[in-house]
Amino acid sequence: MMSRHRNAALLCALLLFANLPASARQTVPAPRSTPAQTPAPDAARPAARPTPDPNDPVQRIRDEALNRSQVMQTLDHLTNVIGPRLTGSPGMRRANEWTRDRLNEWGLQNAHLEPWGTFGRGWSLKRFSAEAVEPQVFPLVAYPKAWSPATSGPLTAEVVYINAKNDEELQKFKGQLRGKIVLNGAVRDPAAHFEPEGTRETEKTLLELANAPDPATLPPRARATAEARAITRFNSQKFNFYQEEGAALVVDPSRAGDGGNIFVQQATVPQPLPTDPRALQALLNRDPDAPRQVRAWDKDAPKFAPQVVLAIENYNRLARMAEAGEHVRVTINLDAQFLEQDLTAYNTVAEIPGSDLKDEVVMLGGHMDSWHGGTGATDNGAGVAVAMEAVRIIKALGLQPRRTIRIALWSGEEQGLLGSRGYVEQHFGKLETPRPTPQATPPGAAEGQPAATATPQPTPRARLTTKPEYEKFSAYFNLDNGTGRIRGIYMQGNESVRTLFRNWLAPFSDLGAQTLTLANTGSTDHVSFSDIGLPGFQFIQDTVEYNTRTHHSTEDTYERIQADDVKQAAAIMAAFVYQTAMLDQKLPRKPAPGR
Amino acid sequence: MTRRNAAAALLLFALLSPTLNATQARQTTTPAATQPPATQPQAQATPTPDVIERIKDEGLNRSQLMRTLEYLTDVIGPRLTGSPALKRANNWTRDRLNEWGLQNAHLEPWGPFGRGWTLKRFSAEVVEPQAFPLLAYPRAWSPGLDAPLTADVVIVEAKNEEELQKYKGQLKGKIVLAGTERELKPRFEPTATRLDDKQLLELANAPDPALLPRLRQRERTPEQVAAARFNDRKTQFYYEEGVALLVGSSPAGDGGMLQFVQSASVPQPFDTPFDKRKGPWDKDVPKLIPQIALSNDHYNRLARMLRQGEKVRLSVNLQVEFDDTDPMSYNTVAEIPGSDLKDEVVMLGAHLDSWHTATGATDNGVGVSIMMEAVRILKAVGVQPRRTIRVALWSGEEEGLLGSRFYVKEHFGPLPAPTPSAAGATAPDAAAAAVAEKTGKTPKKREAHDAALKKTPVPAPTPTPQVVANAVAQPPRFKPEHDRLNVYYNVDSGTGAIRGIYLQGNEALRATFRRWLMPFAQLKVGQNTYSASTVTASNSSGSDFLSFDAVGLNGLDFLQDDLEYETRTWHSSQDNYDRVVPEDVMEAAVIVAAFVYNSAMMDTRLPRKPFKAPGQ
Repeated sequence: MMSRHRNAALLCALLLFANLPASARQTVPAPRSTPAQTPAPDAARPAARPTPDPNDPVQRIRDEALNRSQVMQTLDHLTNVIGPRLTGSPGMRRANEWTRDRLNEWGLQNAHLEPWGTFGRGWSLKRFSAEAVEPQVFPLVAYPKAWSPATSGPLTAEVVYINAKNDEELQKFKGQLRGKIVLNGAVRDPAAHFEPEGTRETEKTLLELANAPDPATLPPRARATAEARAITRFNSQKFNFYQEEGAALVVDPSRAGDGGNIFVQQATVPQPLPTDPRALQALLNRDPDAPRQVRAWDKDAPKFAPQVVLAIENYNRLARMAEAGEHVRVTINLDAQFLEQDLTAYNTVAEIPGSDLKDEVVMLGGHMDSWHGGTGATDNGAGVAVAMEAVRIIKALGLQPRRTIRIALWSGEEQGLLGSRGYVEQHFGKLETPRPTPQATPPGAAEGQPAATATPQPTPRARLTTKPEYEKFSAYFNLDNGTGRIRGIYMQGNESVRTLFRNWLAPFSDLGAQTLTLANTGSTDHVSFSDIGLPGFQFIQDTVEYNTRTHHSTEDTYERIQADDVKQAAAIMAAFVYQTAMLDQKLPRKPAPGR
Repeated sequence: MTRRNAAAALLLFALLSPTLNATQARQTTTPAATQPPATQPQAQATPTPDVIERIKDEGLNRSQLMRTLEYLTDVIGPRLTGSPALKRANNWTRDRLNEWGLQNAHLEPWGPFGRGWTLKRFSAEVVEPQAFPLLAYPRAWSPGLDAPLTADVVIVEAKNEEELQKYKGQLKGKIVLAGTERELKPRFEPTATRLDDKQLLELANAPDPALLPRLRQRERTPEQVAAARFNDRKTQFYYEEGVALLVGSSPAGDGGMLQFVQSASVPQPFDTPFDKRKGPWDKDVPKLIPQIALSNDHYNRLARMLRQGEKVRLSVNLQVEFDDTDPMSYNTVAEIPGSDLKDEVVMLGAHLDSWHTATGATDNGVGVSIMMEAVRILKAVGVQPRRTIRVALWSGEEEGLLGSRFYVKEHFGPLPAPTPSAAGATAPDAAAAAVAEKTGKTPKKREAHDAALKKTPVPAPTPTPQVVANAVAQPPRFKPEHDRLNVYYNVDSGTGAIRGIYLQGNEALRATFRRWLMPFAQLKVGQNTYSASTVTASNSSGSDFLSFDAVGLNGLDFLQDDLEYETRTWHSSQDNYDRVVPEDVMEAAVIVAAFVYNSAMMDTRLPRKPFKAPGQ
């Protein structure tokens, strides 16, 4: 799952369409006659589950998933052997090929790698170690940021702790950073863990979800506050300053977690902020129409100082030693390889062909790319292994779906749902938001506070263009919230699927999966589908240690996976996909945007 | 003094034994022993409440504790016994105590201990088939590598000699995974807890530990003996075959944390008695294979990669420096001289030495800082104690309470028994690591005690007059100072606040201590409110107060909240300054200061429990 904040903008865009005129909604097909309208007998009394019929496909799916599971073997290879799968990296390519071959072995058809576009440079770690060497020696728990440039050989330099809160304080370090290792930012106090890091959903949290209102009725999410914008801006200024001053390496404290855990993502490219106040504002707000910043994976990214993240305890100690007047020297050896021969990135795609409705498609997936600090086990090796297991189960049982079932294992998710967005655009359609016409900056508008007094522009109307496959698509199911078992499903504002989903969950109520919520969830690949009005869903999962420990961290390893949980998830995923493929009709859709 | 002790012993035995005639027993006691403060609290000089309030004010409003701790942990760093860093800590604490106006601040040698060991460089990486840095630490006193080593990793999966022989000729120059793959569980329980009312009530109602069945060392089953023997054989095989580096797993902990990565293993039969075992710090230890330990996440991954046929190569750089310049080790000792009773002594202490994978903040930087802060508070408040107050900061604790044992021998009497063996005790070092290694779980310091509590107390065997007579007839040869030590107080259970005190079976202290705890029933420190009011007859375990207890002195340990100690920081790579909760340790410092002050001011010494020689 990509970071939530980055997707706030996407969510805003989505919510804007709630204000579209009624005519836009009329293009939505009226819900057709589906089993949803004629509930099966057991849907009326889901509690009274009769003895399972061994010939019932759902019972067979459940039996295969729980008693002959291969999901942990899949995950073992993906995480322990292949390892982390940074988009564009050799690890990613190996995973693309291995998953294709596995799906092929399991009897899926048309298993292939599908390019989704130009991504950028691959990055592969070759060597990394970090040690404090003066005034005493101790190994540092550290990890380089992805796409960080290498050091040229081991770098040994003095650390400078910079706890500047504003530009004025930053300028005091002018002339002092050349060749130094910068400790970038304030120490952080990791509090004692009086609360468990591992949790499961409670009746209270599930009830809140069950009673959630239609997301279309909610106000758009607030834009970044002035304070948040100021922080973003100052962070950017700091990296530019270090670059100008010739710092040899920049060390960040792990932004979350403790106990040797490191949350680490991509390197920050020092670059000037836009001079146009409106563009700056859009950037700080993370608006969809913000000017594109140079990314560390861009082929033409400028050269900049290497960047490393340190476990909070080590960071704090180095900072406190420096403040106590110790001359602290650190040795860091970072060798990394940039790969530029193939800038294209790929999704792995394979199918179980349908029968009478084989032109229609039901999709499922998870994202195969990961961050680089752990082995991407919960984000999102688990989702990949569960989706693969779901199609393996359907094949193993010899079930013949009516619609074609297509599995897609995405890449580029962590960089902004790129793989699924590219795929959706190539196959189904695109929602385009015209860029606002550039306006002259109002006279006197100071940098950083533009547009406040300017005449508000009318919200640009997005326009949806679709391809023929758009009409042949039934639904996409995604799993990307860690190792936790499925507790229900987000309907993503689509009330018309409630009865169907209620029926489909009924056989799994004893495994804790019961809750339907109208709420949206975001930040992962189903959004690429739901953004253009296709039914794209993600399941509700127990959090377990996702938010506290594993999401984008060095502790996102196979050890964090709960085998019983992912087996349960595979059973439900397979049952949902199979039943979607067997319906008389495609799944009903909610009103499409931009029409 | 010895005699009075014996008399007190008689009294207690008499009270415990229904077969002894109470009248007879009373006739044998001396007047001093019949008047414990428990029955006549008013006989003791009650310290003016004003002093306690001033102690609180100084300790809570002008605390320097965290500054002491910060220097000790962040600047001086880990303090392995015998290492130059420990010597630096000895000197620094002596100088600080001296600056604060204590007298006679000095380093008191004990030993010989053995070689010092300092890490000079360490890194460990997987370099093939893909590169990633490993979370690892060398084991203390491991030899270094001559040069950075890059070699294949082998996992030896042999269950018997025949299977072992298949590896013959294949391990030379290789890196061997010699640890344990362990299943790691999600953290559904908080790692930080405080003692709740239920636990405190159990402690408050705990019976005299002398009544509890003595915990016997668990006997190994024949299978376990065979397994241990084969393990010895495997180690021997690694030495015969010329393995370049042994890689273990962390005995406990997960994620980014390693726990109980302690000293390097010296090849010796598993059943070598505790006092005959060679330590890697011994000067005459045979040449060892360098040894490091990996985090469990990483160990498990390497094992799985190997099992799936990957060829894994590691690159490890390990440089160390042994220091043989001074075989002696030192305790830091300093005093606030007394007045009318200045020949008598009240001691407080904690151990300055630590393990090496973090900075020894909770084990036992906090104890040291609390004790230093307690005497600083007393000096700052400007009170004149009647008895001399002596603070001792031990070393060699982690290797078996060595510093305090030598000190006790030197000052008070014969060398205490090598294995601290109060009921419920766990040896501080080897036992903890061994339990963790076997179970994959952090051994609970209080676990044995709790287990004992759950059983119905069995009365101790009725002491026959013969036994009593022996105790009287052959008293150990104590030194004159033995008679003049009032009490020793210890803190060594991590960062958690003090919630009360262990009587260590000395019921005669209860009423006095209850009174002394009263000002701390509700103590607000910052945003936290603490309550220290539980007095338990139970034994605490595993730290330097046992050296005093073993020779019949009042060696006492405070009862503390287990705030991430057993779950996270005890002997772990996470035992650093960030784990310390300032409010908790400030609370502890004022309580220790108050207890020490009260002990120094009372008219008569605290009563002792009857002395029992080892084996009785």
